[in-house]
Amino acid sequence: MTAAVPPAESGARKVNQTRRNWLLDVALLIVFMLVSAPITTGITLHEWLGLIIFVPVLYHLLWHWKWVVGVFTQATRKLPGQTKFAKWFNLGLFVMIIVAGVSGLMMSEALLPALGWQVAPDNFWLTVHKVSATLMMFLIGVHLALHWRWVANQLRRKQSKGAS
Amino acid sequence: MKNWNAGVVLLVATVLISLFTLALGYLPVAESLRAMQSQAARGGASQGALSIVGLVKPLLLMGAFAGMTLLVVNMSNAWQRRRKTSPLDTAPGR
Repeated sequence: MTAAVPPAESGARKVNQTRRNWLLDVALLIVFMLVSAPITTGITLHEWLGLIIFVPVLYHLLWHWKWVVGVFTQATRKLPGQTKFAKWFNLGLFVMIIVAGVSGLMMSEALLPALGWQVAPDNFWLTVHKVSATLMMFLIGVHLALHWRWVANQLRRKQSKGAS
Repeated sequence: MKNWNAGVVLLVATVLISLFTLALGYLPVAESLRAMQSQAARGGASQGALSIVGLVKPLLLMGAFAGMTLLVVNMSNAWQRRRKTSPLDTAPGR
């Protein structure tokens, strides 16, 4: 049994959670932008950031775990169309993140050699990495659009706070 | 589900997808791709203007796909609203 939470306290907790989610998502987007631009960052930073990005991705998933469990434990036909789409779409994004990460590791030029593990250049893994990374950009663009109302609300709130 | 359980599920899913990805490397198509000479230039960070240009591709791709999705969602919502308010839908007996 769970103890009843006073409405004011639960409201404050919700505000904190939203703020926490916002900060994490902004950080995730910035790191993703940097990871997606190896020409700008250089291969070494690209590879280290590619490893580091898994931490905010993990937190992003854990903080939305209730939603994940909800959509995967309910019968698909009972879910609204948009949620059904989001379920399979987000699963695809998760798979793509791992495919990009693993293929990147398989041809690592800086990260693995720094840990004492040499890997030879491989055209297959380079192709898989490029395709999965481009697909990820597409999927993250769609992911952003699907949550655009929330993003716009947060931006509006920040703007009005800044003005006052 | 507790966060600990969620972590285990995520870890198992990650390991399974990683193994699946590694298995791709044993496909015949992988061998033929390996046999091809790599034309792609990887290399280090570029200097000056080209360095900033690197950020344009992800920005453009993400922005374009986000914009297209928003357009499709808005059009689909508008179409559904129009269907709901259509006189055929509100006619008696329907």
